[in-house]
Amino acid sequence: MLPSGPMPEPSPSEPGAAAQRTKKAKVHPFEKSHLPDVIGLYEEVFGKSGARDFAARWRWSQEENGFPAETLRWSLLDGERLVGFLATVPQRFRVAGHEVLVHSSCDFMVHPDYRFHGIALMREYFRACDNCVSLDDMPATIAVLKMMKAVPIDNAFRYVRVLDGRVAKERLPQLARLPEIAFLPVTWALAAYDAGRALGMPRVEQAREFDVRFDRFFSTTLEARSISLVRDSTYLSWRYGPLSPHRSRTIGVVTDGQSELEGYVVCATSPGPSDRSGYIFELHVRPGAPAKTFSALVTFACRRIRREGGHLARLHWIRSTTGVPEPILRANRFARRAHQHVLLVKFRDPALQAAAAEASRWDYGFGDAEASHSVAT
Amino acid sequence: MGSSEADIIVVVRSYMQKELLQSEVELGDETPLIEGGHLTSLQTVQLVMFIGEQYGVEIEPEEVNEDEFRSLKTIAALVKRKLPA
Repeated sequence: MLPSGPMPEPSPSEPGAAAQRTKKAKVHPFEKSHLPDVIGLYEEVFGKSGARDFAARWRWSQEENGFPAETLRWSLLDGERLVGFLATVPQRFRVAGHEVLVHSSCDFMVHPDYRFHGIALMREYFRACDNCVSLDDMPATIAVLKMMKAVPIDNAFRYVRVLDGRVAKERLPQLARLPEIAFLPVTWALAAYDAGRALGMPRVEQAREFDVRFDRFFSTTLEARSISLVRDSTYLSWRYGPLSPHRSRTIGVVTDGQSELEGYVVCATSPGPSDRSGYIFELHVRPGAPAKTFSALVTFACRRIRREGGHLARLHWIRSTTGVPEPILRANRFARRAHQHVLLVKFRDPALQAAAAEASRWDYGFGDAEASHSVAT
Repeated sequence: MGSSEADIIVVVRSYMQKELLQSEVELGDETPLIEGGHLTSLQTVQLVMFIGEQYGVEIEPEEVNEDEFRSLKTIAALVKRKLPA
């Protein structure tokens, strides 16, 4: 299978990779009756529990988003057999003063026997959608996107911060035999450090919902956000709402003297033992706000993730006009990893494409990207 | 470097065997590359990039289809068509 998610194509040198017979297939518009086969195809690779999550995510991204009529998707059919699919999620973007609908491919998968035809699905996506934005980390998908003339704009870097001493036991084989209790002092020290830091920073409150203050925050920061997803309380309530894969999210806000937002953070923690990580999906502050506002929000998110059992805090950093500057992230003990995603865009209008090519104009975050949708929390 | 279809076939075959398939798999001029499973989407993209670098021609996304990439012969014909006369 060639999903846009975690499974790469087998390398050509793998035994049997070239021996598979590729059959004929055609791209068709997706029909509702295809959905059981779409989920069945996913189940073949990721098993029943993965398919359950996928089905829930599909309903959220495909049926509950703000633009159901504009949600484009295609099926790859060999006769009546479904052998691949590509689904997009439409989102409103503001690009240099113009509001446009942008499509991102959020689920993309092809059966191994039909691997060549992944290009046909991608071609249909680029043919049908005027504006395409993608944040991807799979070389195969990035290569196909580039062939479709999507232009790389910027890279998103993965940052991590240790929250729990047991990370050492999990990562260093020589420490694996030590009992968990041996790592408690380190965890306590890290927690005490964060608690101490929080005392000297602006107060962060937990918000239950994305209320009208968020709308006011986004309208007052509009000028600074030359190229940005159109965020408002309606969008965020869908993005992190009850059907979202990240419904367990925590929202933290820093407010000014008039109770208006200075900044906010959204984070969520993975539930299972296989990935004891918490993810910071959103971290935005009003332009001109002091560095302490960022640090307060980061510290709030880290403490929350630790409390929810997370051993690591993860943040995919990309340059953004209201996002956290990289030096502040490092000052908050986040370490940069080698892994990176690439932001690629293709706008049909040459003037919009030219504007979008300027990375410094972007206000973007990991939570905006379809790549974040499959993060399990 | 020759630019007849026969010359192009030799160059593309060699690239596919050495870089894409990494094996001495027999690739005749008319061996079905897609139906035979010799070209995945990623390998096709790599091949398109190689052709672009080697011959200075740009293959458009709509030209990356089953007809044009059916065999070494059809690929060579596509490249030849795009080369300046």
